[in-house]
Amino acid sequence: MKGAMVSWQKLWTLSQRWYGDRMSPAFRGRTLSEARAIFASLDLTDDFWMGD
Amino acid sequence: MLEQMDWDIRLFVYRLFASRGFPPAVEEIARHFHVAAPVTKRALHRLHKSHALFLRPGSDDILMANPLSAVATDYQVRVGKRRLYANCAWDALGIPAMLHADARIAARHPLDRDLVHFSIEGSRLSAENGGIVHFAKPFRNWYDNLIDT
Repeated sequence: MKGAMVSWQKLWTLSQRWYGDRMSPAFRGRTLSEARAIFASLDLTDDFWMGD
Repeated sequence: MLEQMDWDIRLFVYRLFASRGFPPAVEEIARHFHVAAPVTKRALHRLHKSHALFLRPGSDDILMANPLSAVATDYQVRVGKRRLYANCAWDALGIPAMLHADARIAARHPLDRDLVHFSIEGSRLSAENGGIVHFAKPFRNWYDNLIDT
């Protein structure tokens, strides 16, 4: 199957890192580098997550 | 480039959306910020172009303020007495993550249509029956058509 598979547990951790600051008045979106840093922090480093 | 008022509107939308399960309409936003409706619409469209929230195609109505969905979906999230809808599996977990709250999630499996239940309690995920989530599109293509994604 094409695409990427992520366990629910890893997805929960990813969700916390991705959405944890979404309601902050200081939130200003996320740059591509910041998005990739979040993926990398969970070893999501293949082309699916990091590709241009 | 988004202006401070755009970000203020974004935060207002998120707070209302999360508290009651549906987003404010243009008129409600305009009243709150004491601006005219056309000013509000322009701000919403700037936010849409910046992917800060998403409007229904061809309208000024908010469809998504990720992880929240303005329409019922296969991903229902209960936070306290609130019933919220998420856009996808990731967003279903994104709601309790965003609200820093316990939640109960009922997600309908896309293939067999069975309901799968999850809970978040004290930041811990409990899954009724483990499993994995499939992402079909690579990250670089997610925003080509977010509704399709």
